[in-house]
Amino acid sequence: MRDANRDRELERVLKTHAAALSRLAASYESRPALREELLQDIAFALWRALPSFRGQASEKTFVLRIATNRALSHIATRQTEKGTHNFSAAEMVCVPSAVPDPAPRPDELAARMQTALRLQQAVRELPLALRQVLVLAFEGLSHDEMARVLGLTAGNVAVRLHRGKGLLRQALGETS
Amino acid sequence: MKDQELDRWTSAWREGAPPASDLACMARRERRLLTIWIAFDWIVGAGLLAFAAWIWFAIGTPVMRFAAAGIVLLTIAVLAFTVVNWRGSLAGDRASAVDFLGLALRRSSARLRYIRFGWWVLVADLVVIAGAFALEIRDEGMARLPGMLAAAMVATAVAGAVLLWWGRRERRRAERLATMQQALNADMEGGHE
Repeated sequence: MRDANRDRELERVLKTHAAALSRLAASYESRPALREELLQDIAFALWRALPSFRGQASEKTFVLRIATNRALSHIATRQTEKGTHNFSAAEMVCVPSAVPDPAPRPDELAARMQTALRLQQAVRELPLALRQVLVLAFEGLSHDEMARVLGLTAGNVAVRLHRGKGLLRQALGETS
Repeated sequence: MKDQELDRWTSAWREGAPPASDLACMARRERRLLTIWIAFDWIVGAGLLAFAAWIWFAIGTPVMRFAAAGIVLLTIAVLAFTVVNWRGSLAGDRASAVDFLGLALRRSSARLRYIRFGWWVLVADLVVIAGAFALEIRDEGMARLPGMLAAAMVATAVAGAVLLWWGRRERRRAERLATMQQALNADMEGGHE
């Protein structure tokens, strides 16, 4: 693939999956500057990997697999550095395609952002093995796709998803 | 069976995303930086080789030829590592997370071996410097020795500090990768593919 074509393809892929990548990065890194660094790593890794994409898996699975691996590498390099940052609702960006109401009231929108924020913070607190599965599930991957991304069996994915949901329920103070 | 709880969380999850800068622009910036970084390595390497050639032909004393040969060998070793390091730095991104972690651990071990090798190179370098000093004292006397000694000490201290910093950083990274692999494997039921 020539560089110009690859650039165009990358731009399209990133545009399509920007929100998913941003959420995934935020679930591994809470500090804005380091999250940007992680996103930059992911974008560059995607640019490198694009020529090898032959459509064996869905584009989303391909993108999330690379992003998950880059996130692991990021944790290995940056985990012990001090400082955390939790986004405020005002900092969150509303994702238009996910909001069915074309013109939600400002207070409704704020409440939704708060919920998204709380969920994101709770997910970030989960053990890595469970967080990986939940993030991919929230991004819409099937059990088989998650198994391929993580290198697990579908059965193991189901077990982790079950445990992850239990812990998330606790963290959010919900009952089953 | 529909999992209503998961559906509810999924829709809440997808409603908001932290803002991200232009990702395509970020990728271009990273590529530019990497290109500059690699080019810098090669430019410095070419400069050192040219310097060694100049020492060999323009000065030509046994001591200086000895030093020039050392510079050439070390430069070639560092450039070879640069090539291997960059080629492998993003390898395995398309693998599954479990395979990726295994690969990252192997690469980390390889880097640690390289750093240990670096310490031996530094020791060898000290032996070479001591030999060069002995030749200098025999042929030229003590006049230039203080300057040479100071330069050798500075170069050795810088190389030692870099190796120390890099080694500590790499060991921490290897420990974190091993912990992560342990955490992921400990939670595994039913093996992995």
